[in-house]
Amino acid sequence: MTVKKIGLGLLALAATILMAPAASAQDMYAGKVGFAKNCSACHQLTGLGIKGAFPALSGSPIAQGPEDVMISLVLQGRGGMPSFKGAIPEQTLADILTYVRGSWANHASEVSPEQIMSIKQALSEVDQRPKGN
Amino acid sequence: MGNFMFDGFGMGPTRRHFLEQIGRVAGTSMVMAGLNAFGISTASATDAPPALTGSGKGKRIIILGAGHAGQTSAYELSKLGYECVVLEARGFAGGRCQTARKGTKVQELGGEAQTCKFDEGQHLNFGPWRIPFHHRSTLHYTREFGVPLEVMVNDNDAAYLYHENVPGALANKPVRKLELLADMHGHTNEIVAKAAAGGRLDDQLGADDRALLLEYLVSEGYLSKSDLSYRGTEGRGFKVNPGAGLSPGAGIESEPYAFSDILKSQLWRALQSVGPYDQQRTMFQPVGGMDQIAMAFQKRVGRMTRYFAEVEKVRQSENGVEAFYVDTKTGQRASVKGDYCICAIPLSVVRGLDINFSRPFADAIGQVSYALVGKIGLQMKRRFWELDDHIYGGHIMTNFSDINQISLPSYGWQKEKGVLLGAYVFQATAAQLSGQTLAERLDTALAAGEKVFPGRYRASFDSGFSWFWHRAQYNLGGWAEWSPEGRKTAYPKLLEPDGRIYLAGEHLSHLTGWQAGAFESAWQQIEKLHHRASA
Ligand SMILES: Cc1cc2nc3c(=O)[nH]c(=O)nc-3n(C[C@H](O)[C@H](O)[C@H](O)COP(=O)(O)OP(=O)(O)OC[C@H]3O[C@@H](n4cnc5c(N)ncnc54)[C@H](O)[C@@H]3O)c2cc1C
Ligand code: HEC
Repeated sequence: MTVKKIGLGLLALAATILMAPAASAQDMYAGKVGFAKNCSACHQLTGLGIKGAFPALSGSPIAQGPEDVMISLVLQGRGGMPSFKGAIPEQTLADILTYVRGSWANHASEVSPEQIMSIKQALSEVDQRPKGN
Repeated sequence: MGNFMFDGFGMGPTRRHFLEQIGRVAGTSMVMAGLNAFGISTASATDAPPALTGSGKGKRIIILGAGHAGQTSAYELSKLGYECVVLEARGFAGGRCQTARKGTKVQELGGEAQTCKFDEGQHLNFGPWRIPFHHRSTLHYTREFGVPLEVMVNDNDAAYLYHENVPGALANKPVRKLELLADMHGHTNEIVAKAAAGGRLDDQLGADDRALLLEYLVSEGYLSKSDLSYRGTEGRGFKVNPGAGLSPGAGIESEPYAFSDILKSQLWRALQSVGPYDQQRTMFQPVGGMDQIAMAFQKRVGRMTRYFAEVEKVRQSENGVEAFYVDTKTGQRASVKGDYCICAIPLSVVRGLDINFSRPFADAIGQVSYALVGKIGLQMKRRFWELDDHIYGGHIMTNFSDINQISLPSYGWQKEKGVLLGAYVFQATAAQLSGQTLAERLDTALAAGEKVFPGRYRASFDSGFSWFWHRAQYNLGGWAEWSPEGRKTAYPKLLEPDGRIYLAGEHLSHLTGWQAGAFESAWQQIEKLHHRASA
């Protein structure tokens, strides 16, 4: 397949996702797996976090608040949380955030890959290359 | 250092270099003048602790945390007669300066209990592990305390580079760095040399300089003098090594890799003309483990230290400071009063303590973030890297997204067993690896190493140890990472005391993530404190 064809394929895929109804687009199981892989070291599989170190996501106002606030927090990182901007593809992150927003004590709206993409694009390019000491 | 390559670099080696130059020709007073001309206080001279005179008799300093910044403060201030009380939450001193060896017990927040099962004599520096030659503060204390050093091979031309899933012939195989260096320089020099010889660089070079440049390119890149081509060189290694007699005799020379294959492999990403400022090819490490430095301090300040004393709250008034702590062994609470306080606890932890800082100061503390970082150490039954691959120390740099690199030990050469660093990862990668159970982490590291040393890595594995600093109680992160805005707004605020409390630690330096940052930050803060207390 040529690069051009791959590009067209992606466009078609993006179009399919765009047309899909928001309410059923995200995969809770994939979200659970992605959460275990990327987030559980700190927030714990229970979503309860660790007192004094990592906040609970279960019942968190941010995890149930406006989508864009939560998305930019996870993309950019803050304090003891890393930036996941370059580390997790949009669809996976959408699954994870949707899982967090709808699990444990949380009952909030889904997050779509398009929302993530548009916030990503608005973020400034920062060289996040880590450097060992 | 910070997440930006240049973070700790900002003050610039050129300034330092300039000061060294004038020091050499004109002596110390000129250096002082030069420092002032640069707009930095003479207190930041980094060779030795501040030369303080006078006495601190009758004054008590409460020092929070017995990492290097706390240890340094206690050691230097007690010399002046101050009464120092050090409150340390852990059962030992040294903070991040820790070494895992047989019997070391650790547990990450929310993680499994781990007891290190390395053999006697084996160890892993899971925090700091290397000392650059220009970290004069660190080297000041190793000299003063007589901590023996050995060389840490921080870059080894014989070590492998390995990139998987890249285009070209160099994919998925170990390539020695010296082959790559020779070929990359050779091929590049050939192109530049031919362009220069053909007159294509004449608008940038005079005739004299062109001749000299050609000489340089030929000698540096091992080009043929006659046609300026690169056809390999013995330094990249032989196909059959030379030896005695007729066989192997002169040996058989090796062939260079194709330029295009090297370029496509991106293995050249591991090459730099010189290392960054803080990464030289040879560095130092204390014999027996980095924690020898912490222990040497503790011989001198141990009597002032209260262990298992977790500070929960600090109250300061116009007249003094009171620190409240809980004894984590007995659960009992107590407090200690003093004239001043040096808070040498990482800001990631300070954020969560109840300390009556002024509002702007507390806000500034909230502006720094901390690096996610962790290591996995693997004890191997057999030093296959020395025996089979002839690699003594240094790093195997890979493009594996899960482990980054494998570092070979610079201690115990030619002994039977050895502990290598099987993963050294940061940020999101560290978040992911640290989300695995201990057994999963070891398996991830072994699977990665097996690609580079097939048939030997997993088979030689004995026991492992893993530690992630963002999951470490009393640290909550590897080292401070300042954003450029934070450096401008918050950092200067935190360098000044808030009332009677002075902060100290690697986070208040441009040497973040280095022990030198902790030492030199403490030096600056105790000098300020002493001037004020003696006024
Ligand atoms: C993975 C890694 C690799 C590194 N590599 C290098 C290297 O190669 N070379 C190098 O020079 N440096 C290296 N460093 C950096 C170096 O380890 C640190 O910069 C230095 O040790 C920091 O010293 P500190 O005194 O500022 O803080 P710490 O050593 O963290 O000391 C803080 C102290 O405060 C105590 N404390 C915390 N909370 C409380 C509380 N509530 N009450 C009482 N006490 C408390 C802690 O237990 C600890 O003892 C590395 C660090 C890491 C994490
Ligand atoms: C290294 C530990 C770590 C990892 C891994 C991590 N976080 Fe966090 N997270 C934190 C910390 C610390 C905070 C608090 C940040 C602050 O406000 O300073 C936080 C805050 C949050 C918040 C806001 C919670 C609140 O109520 O304040 C959300 C939402 C969140 N994280 C989601 C995630 C998701 C989703 C992932 C995985 C993709 C993740 N985190 C991975 C440490 C982590």
